[in-house]
Amino acid sequence: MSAKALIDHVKEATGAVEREEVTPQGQVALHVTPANWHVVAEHLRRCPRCNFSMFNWLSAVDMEDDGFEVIAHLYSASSLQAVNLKTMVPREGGSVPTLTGLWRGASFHERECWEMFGIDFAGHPHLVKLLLAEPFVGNPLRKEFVLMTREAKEWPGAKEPE
Amino acid sequence: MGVVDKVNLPQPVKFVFNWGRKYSLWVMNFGLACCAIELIAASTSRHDFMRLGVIPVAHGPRQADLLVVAGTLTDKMAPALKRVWDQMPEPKYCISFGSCSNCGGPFWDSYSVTKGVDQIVPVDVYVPGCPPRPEALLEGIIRLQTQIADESLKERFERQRREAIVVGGPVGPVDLSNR
Amino acid sequence: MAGREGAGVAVSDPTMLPGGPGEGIALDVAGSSRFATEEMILNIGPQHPSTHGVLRMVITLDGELIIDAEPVIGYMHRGFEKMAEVRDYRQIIALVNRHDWLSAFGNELGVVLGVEALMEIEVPERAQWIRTLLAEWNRVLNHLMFMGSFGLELGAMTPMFYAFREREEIQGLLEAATGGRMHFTYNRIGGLKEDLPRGFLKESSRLAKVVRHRLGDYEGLLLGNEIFKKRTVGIGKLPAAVALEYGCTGPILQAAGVAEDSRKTEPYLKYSEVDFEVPVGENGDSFDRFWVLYRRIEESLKIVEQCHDKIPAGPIMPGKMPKNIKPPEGWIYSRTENSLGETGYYIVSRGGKEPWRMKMRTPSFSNVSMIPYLLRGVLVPDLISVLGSVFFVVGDVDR
Repeated sequence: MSAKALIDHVKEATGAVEREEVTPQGQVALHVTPANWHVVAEHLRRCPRCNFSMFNWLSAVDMEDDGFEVIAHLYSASSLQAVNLKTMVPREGGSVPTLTGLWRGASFHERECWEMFGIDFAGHPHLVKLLLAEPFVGNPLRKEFVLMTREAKEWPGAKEPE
Repeated sequence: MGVVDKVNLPQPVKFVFNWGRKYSLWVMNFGLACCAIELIAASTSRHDFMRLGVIPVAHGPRQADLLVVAGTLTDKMAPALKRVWDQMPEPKYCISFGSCSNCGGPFWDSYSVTKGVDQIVPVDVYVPGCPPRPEALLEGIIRLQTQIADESLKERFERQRREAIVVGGPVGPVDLSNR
Repeated sequence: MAGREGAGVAVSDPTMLPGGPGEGIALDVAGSSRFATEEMILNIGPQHPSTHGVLRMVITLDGELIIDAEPVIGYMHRGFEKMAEVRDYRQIIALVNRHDWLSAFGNELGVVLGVEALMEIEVPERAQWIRTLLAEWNRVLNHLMFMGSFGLELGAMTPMFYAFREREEIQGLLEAATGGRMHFTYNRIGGLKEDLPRGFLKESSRLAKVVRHRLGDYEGLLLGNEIFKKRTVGIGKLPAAVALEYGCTGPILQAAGVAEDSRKTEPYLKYSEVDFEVPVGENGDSFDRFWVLYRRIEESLKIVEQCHDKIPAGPIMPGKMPKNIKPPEGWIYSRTENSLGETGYYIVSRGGKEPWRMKMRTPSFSNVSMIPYLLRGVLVPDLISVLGSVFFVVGDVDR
């Protein structure tokens, strides 16, 4: 299906797509609310026309005051199409339902997102640290987490022509 | 060990002892990251550090006397490195291979990298590069062998005993005064 | 969960069971009524000669049978994504070489293609062909390493030395062009750092013939070897649907029967103008994964030989590029078929010279998450064979 056809189909089938986005390079993003996260994801997984059987990755982007944008990238090996499912959660206490019931591969990605950003994934069976050491405190990928070495010592190559 | 570590050996005996030790270093491969590939390349046919006497026996740290830390050491991995180092019997040597293990390397500003393996273990030879060529490892081993040739075992053991008491050793301060 | 109740051991992550959460497996736990067996938790790693680097596995054993396996990763986590936010795009090319350290050129390509697409830069023809050529040589380098190391884990020492003999020659070739044996840093936004040295193509075609001729050694030593076959055929079967769920890509997915290869489905560079096949396995077991790797080397050499004839003369950069690259605001997900699978970079730009966010999608991360599924019900000696056949590089897993 073309990008437009896919967007129209999902909008019609779920009625939960808040906003859609197609970049100049032709990549598709569907924005939903956290409450509808699982509903739309389930449709994309189960519907035989969409058939997004491959879970590619899940992560988040720090949008500062607007919160965190959680992105799940799904791929369909049959229709060779990719879609980015996006939602916005607040900085403190943000929570998104887990996708591990639909794709088992979401487990590792959600754990990493949780430890890097502090976003809760409701219903995840094993939400513990994945990449960081046990005693590590903080969520590194938040913008307020600064790299201390750079603060303590200025990088000598920083004086560059603008 | 008895006499050897308490007495300054006379030159001919010292020469023979050190010559035997420097040409039979058994290496514990602590290959962590990209430098591990160059370490393996140094052990295969073209560069071959086996001709220097360094045998990549992987039976475990208990039978090794040279530790080559090749690659980035992260804070999560550091306790494992300390454990392996402590399991090695003295006299033991350490080569830090690559700029990540020398000083943190390209990840100098990371939140999870130990900036330099010498924070955990005492290093004898630093081999710079990212990754260093296998020939650089051969040079590092030869430098280490030169160091060993000039070494007095008494001073070596005294230094390691001092470090064991100060650092705390594997299980806390150990009283070595009666050994 | 049927069969697990008597064991009385909680499963660490039920999503990792075949069948998914809520479903169980009917596993016949060995042990007679007179001889009660207890489960043992064995820790493998993080420093262990047979895992490719610092991967730790915590396995629950009943005798020699693995009941549960949990990979503990993060021992090589260096924080690439955070570091990318404070580096400009030229520095990121040098940084990103180092996560999948066996296929550095392919890593660079992903970033560079993403930024070029965002900025709508037209890369000259010559640069695109040279990139294709070097990317394929890099793929051969990567696969040769696994040819050697997989054999080594199963006890065959000779293929290791043969593989490194080939690798040394190819590394010498790439060093002549890029200056590096492993971390090339040859790509630039818009093209390449500098043109190929004189005599490169002649040497490259000679080497392609030599490597192709020597590939027969691996076939004889490993693929046709009875011991190798006994240890890998039928072990570690991965069905296609499960592989897709976990996000596996690359040789693992192709061995499971899915012909998903970004070079064919979403061609980038000059892959649409060269003729090659994507080898697809039948059973999805360890032997098939290894066989797919072997066939991929052959196909890569085919592409390399075709590139030799087709590289046009011309510039390698589209004019003078600014020193500080500032892509317009927006986001892009650029993916390439790297040696181990699909390597993707999700780059969010806010107009600055550093990216606002760069998410790295690495193939080994997804491949390793699938290991517990493969290891259920496998014996400990087969653990080595299965773990070795899931080709991963720990830097790629942890970033």
